[in-house]
Amino acid sequence: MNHPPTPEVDPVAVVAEIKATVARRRAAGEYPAELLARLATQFGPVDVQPALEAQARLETARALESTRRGPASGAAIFAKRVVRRSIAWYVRPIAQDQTRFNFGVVRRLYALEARVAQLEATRARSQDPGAPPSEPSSGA
Amino acid sequence: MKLAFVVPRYGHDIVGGAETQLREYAEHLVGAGHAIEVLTTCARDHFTWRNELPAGARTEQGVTVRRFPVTQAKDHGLMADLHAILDADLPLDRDSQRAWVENTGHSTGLLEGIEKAAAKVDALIFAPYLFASTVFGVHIAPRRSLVVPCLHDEAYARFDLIQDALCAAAGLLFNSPAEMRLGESLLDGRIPPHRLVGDGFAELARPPDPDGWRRRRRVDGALVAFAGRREAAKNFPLLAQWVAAHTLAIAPDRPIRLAAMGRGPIDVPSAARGVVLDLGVVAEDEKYDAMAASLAVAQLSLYESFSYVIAEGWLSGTPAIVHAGCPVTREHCERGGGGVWVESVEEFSEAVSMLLADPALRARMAVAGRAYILAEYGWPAVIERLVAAAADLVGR
Repeated sequence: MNHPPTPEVDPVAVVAEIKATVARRRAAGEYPAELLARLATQFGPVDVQPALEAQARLETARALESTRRGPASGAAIFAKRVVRRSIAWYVRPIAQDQTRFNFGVVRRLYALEARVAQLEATRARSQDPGAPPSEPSSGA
Repeated sequence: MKLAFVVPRYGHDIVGGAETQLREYAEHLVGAGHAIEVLTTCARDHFTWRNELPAGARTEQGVTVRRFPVTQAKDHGLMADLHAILDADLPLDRDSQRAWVENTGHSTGLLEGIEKAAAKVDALIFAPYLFASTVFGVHIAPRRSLVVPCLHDEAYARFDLIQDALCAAAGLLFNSPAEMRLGESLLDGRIPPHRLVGDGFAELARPPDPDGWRRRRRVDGALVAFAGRREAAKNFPLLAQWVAAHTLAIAPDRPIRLAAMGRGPIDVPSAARGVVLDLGVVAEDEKYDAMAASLAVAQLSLYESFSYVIAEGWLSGTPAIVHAGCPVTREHCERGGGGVWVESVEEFSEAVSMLLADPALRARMAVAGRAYILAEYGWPAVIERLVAAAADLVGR
């Protein structure tokens, strides 16, 4: 286990070549940023943390799906739609309460974040008297 | 030696890296003359944990397999609530950790079976680290228990309950140097004795037939292969997105398609459906044929303790593209030279274009990967390490 065979290719060099190509083409604007962004949106946030606001709002209606095949799939989806509608009067206000709470928490989190940033800037200034004063915080 | 393997699901049709690894350990050890039995549940699916297989003992490929029913039905609502907390990077308290583990195929019969077996065997070997069979089972006969954790850097690995189980074991058997480093870091100061054993590989039983496969399946054009569980935990949606981005946006003049093998729905936007070839669950030979017919085997999962699939790609004569953020797969590629690691859609696309344009590079990488995997993880060496580690760590 301590003596791996010597690779006949230098993977580090190959990866470095890939990175260099990407850097060159990015600098030349050769990647279709708009198209890539549109695709990323279509696929959903698979590799990025979604914004807090996007997660705060609760949706009570989700896409209806069925793992069954053939006509049973349609019947299952229809049944689920009936159930969803019949309990909407009960579920919706609960979701609204939860959404209000979530946004309240998000607002306070942003306020806290701004205060921490302000405190850090104050501390940095006190440690480096030559530094320019920081921008005043605009709040959350 | 007399060994008992404890695994939450077992069988030739069970998809899962740890499950496959332990099954192959068991079969190779039986072939080498050791007495092996397997203790497992009746479940086949780790999402539902439904009892689908008959309870009781039977012999499968020379291995005595004892199945016990799952006794705690999965509470999907509770698990969704707990995952919402984990997804927000918040910790679970100990009671919630216990509730989480109890919803991963908990079987009281299996725990009784472990107690009975413990008196008769030299060692109990558990895998993987996070399920009820391991977390509760290790505490039954800890001085005789070894864990093949198949550890990932994820929230569950930080549960006190789970770390206590790992630390209670007589020893841990890791799959790769990167996984061992992760274990040492997570269980800092408390880690029990541990060894590097790894998964085992052999030459394919028959050479792959990529041309025949293409004819039979009526597939043409360049492919990138994926095999395994088609789920977010394996970064399958990201792979589908990157393949679509390469073909539809970055390099439409050099299109590729994703040959997607394994279980799980393929949930891609309608615009991208044409770039994914849904092969579903295929036979082993067909998997190797499809890999051999592909430019690369792509594995973008960040949570791997070994990654069986890239090794299978190398044995099929195909290099790998892995995610730079996965220390294990990246280390395999760095040490063996069998693949490249990428961290953005642009890098993925350039890697694909490079492999498309340079068949000689592709072949050299595949040869290097194959030589690496057989030298370091060939079955004879792995079984020797496993038996030596078991004898050493349980003091028999």
